[in-house]
Amino acid sequence: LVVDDDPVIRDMMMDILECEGYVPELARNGQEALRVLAGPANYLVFLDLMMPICSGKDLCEILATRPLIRQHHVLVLMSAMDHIAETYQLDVDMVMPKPFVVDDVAEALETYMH
Amino acid sequence: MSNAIWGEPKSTGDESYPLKLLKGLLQDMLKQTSIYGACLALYDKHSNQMVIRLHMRRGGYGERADELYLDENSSPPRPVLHRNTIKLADQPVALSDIPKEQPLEEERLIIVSTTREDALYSPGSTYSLGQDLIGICWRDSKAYTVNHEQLQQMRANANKPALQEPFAPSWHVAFPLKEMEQVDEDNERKNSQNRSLGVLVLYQLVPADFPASLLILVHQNVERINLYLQNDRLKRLQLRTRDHIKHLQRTSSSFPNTLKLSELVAEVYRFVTSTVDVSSMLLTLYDRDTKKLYDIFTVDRGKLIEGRTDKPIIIDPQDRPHWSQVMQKEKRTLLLSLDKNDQKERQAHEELLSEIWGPQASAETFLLIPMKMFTRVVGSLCITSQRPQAYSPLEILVLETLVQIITVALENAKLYERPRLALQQSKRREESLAATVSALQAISTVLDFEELLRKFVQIAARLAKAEMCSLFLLKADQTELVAQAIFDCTGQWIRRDGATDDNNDDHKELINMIRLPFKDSLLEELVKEGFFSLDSTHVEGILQTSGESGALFLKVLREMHMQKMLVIPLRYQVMDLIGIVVIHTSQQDRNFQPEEIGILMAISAQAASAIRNAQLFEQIQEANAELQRMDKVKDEFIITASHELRTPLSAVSGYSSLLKKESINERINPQKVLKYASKIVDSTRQLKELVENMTQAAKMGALDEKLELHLIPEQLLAATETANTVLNPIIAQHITIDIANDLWVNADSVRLREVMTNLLENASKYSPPYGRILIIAQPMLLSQLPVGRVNYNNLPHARDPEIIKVSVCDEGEGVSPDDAEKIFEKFVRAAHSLTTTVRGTGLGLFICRRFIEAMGGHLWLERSIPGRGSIFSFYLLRVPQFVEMRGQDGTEPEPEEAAGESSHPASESIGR
Repeated sequence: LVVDDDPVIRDMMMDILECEGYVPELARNGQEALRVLAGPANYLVFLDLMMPICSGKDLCEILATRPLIRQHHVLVLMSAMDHIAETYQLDVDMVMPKPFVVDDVAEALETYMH
Repeated sequence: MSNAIWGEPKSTGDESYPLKLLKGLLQDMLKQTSIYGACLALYDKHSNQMVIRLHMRRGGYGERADELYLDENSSPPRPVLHRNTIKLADQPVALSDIPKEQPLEEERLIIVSTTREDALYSPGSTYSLGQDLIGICWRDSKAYTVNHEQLQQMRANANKPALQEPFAPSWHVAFPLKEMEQVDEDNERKNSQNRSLGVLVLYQLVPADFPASLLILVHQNVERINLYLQNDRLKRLQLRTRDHIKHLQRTSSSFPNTLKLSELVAEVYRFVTSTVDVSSMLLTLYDRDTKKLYDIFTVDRGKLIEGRTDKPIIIDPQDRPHWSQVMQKEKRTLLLSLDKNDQKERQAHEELLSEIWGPQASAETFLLIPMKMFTRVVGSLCITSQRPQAYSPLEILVLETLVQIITVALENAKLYERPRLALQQSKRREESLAATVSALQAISTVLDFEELLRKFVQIAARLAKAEMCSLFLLKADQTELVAQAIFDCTGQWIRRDGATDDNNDDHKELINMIRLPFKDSLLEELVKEGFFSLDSTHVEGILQTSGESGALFLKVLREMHMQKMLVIPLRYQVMDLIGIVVIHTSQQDRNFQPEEIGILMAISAQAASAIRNAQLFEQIQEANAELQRMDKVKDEFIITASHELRTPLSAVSGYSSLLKKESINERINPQKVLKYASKIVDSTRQLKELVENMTQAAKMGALDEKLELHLIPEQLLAATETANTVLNPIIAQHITIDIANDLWVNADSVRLREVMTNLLENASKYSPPYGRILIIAQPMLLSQLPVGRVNYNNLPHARDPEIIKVSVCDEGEGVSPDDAEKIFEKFVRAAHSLTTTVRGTGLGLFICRRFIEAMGGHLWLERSIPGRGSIFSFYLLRVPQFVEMRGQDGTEPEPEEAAGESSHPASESIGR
């Protein structure tokens, strides 16, 4: 699942994941993502930190209160280096600094999808 | 030594001749000759008469009980029986015939002591010059012989009673007694009369001529008497001199300690009176600093004129030309013998004789001694006596010495006094300086404006010792002086409005209500002075014309009984008037001293600087706050900008790495390459735009840098459609354009398109995809614009020009009223823009406004309702339609846009 408000990033993530052989689902914000995550499937979530309506941070905090949902998913937070400090308290599995290259995504997929 | 009392000259009490010696002489003479009687008259200088001092004759005829017999020891009268032994009277007078010892043993000599006027040569009787035998002998300085009848006649002429004696001498012979020439050391000053010491008179009962043989003997005796007298005189002189010297020594030794003028003067007075006969005395000092004469001590004919020492009479030396001539030019001692009949001499010295010590008409002798210090004359001592020839050369010498001593003492005293005064003065100055310095420190250390003013009025009032001090500052437009602070040590002002520290603001407001008109007022004229003072009538005059605020102040002043005020203009760097300080006092007769004013002016100057500094400090603080805000805005911007920059950067990074990886894996097809590459190009362009926007805005920030514009008539519709064409593929919303094609504005075509694009882009950004965007243009007159929307900087010459207002309406989220102006600032986006879906650096509106303003218009947010939409409007000056030319040119901008793909080539020209 790719969660980002910026369509350019969403498109790019989709292109990258498709190349890696996956078919991602997309969400524009935390709210939309939460709806997907509440479903039965397990996801590797590429979550943008800064988003309107419900940011990555907000989503993480919500998930922290819902361990039943949280346990089925792997969270990879996408954040600029200058916001890295904000991610320390968040319960995420990995932080991927922006801007990233394909190999960063591939590494995350390697780690969590196998 | 004489012990004269002021005013009433008294005959010398002590005998100024050696009586005992003279007695012996006469006795010897009588014994050696047959002369019946001898009488000695001596000159009395005080009465200027000859006085009979000694009269001796043989006994035997009509002795009286009150007459004394001359015995060896002046014993009481002997019995009469001795008298018959005196037989010499019958004997011939030839000296040679007289047996030397024998008759003398039998003789009894009588010292005549009767004071009867009808007695012959009674002791104490006086003879003035030319009067009687003695007077004539004195006058002519010649021996005279007269018979008894002649003598009687002389007495009758002199209005003396006829002689009543039991005997009648057959002749009298008078010899003048004269001073020896050779011992007369100061003969210059004396005339011949003065040299007469006395007259010796001999008489004989036996009717016979004066024997020539006797003459020799008499001459010898006369000489002896002369010698005796002179010797005695010299002895006395010596004694006196010794006394004088002692006195002078005592005086001089006591002076250096006597710094008080009054004591010094008293000492002079004592000394002079004990030395010589003085009827009047005047002590004058000359101060070379003030160039004035001070009469510090005056005795007028025995009467002391009180208080001169403390309050001397001050005279300009020019008013005493004669004094100045004698004292300061000639510098000599002036001794005048003033004959009552010699009016000429009196007139010559009239000035000296008729000074403040009273007319000295009765003075016979006048003495003026200069007080010389080196070559300067620092004063004079002037004395007169009612006796003629009152001052001998010796006495003058003594007085001159005395004067010299007191001169030195006075100069010393002055020398002591001067540093002492200087010390006192410098101490006072030091104190006032210390007060000033502490005041200045207090003032200059305060940067808080209000506190500074409060402190200043307090200090000023204290330094001026005034009850009240107020401070007015000039308003920026110079029309009024507004009270800023009032201090009154009586506390009435404070009590009056009940203000305390707690409600300082009320207090301050009340004070600020006091205003004085300044422009074109009397005050404006007056402040050109360094300071000025106004009395209550002036103050009322000014305040009554000052309207309500002045009346309020007047009321305050009246309540506090303030009478006078001293006004000191506050000037910054001497030039700029920033206000006035007013010192109020209730003392009507208070005169502000130059030193006080000097100090007040000094601290006022300092206060002016301090006030200005405080003002500047406030400004700086404000500017600083503004800077801090701007800094914060900039920080926010950097965060926003980095976020904005990062998105395309992430895309570039992601796609390029993807491209690379796929190429390595050789799984890529050309379609994908094209897709990825174009994504990279798009993102790069986005990045470029952002960076350009930022640099452009940053450049605009550089103060008032004129934008390079090419203002030409521009068709509004064409420009709008160009912008629409650019945006149409990018944005979701539909843009409706409602602009008549005959509307032309004066604009820079590139910039105008940029503004349009930006505004439409903004409208789209903040609107939902389904929202509508409307752009309309209305022609109108400048005066029809809402207030505050007119750009006054670039007004054309026409008074009310035609303009076109362009409005862009959207149905977006709107702008909160708080942000309505902020959004036009650099780097500012609406609050929490980071959390909105809208991208942007926050530079768009800032740049747009600058462009529009540069083109002579204005851009503003006309209306905004949160959640429902906003209307951004701008206006530009309308120009006539360029029908033919623009018809062709109207299509011209389009290729340019197509080539540049957007309006942004324009920014390149700005960038340069």
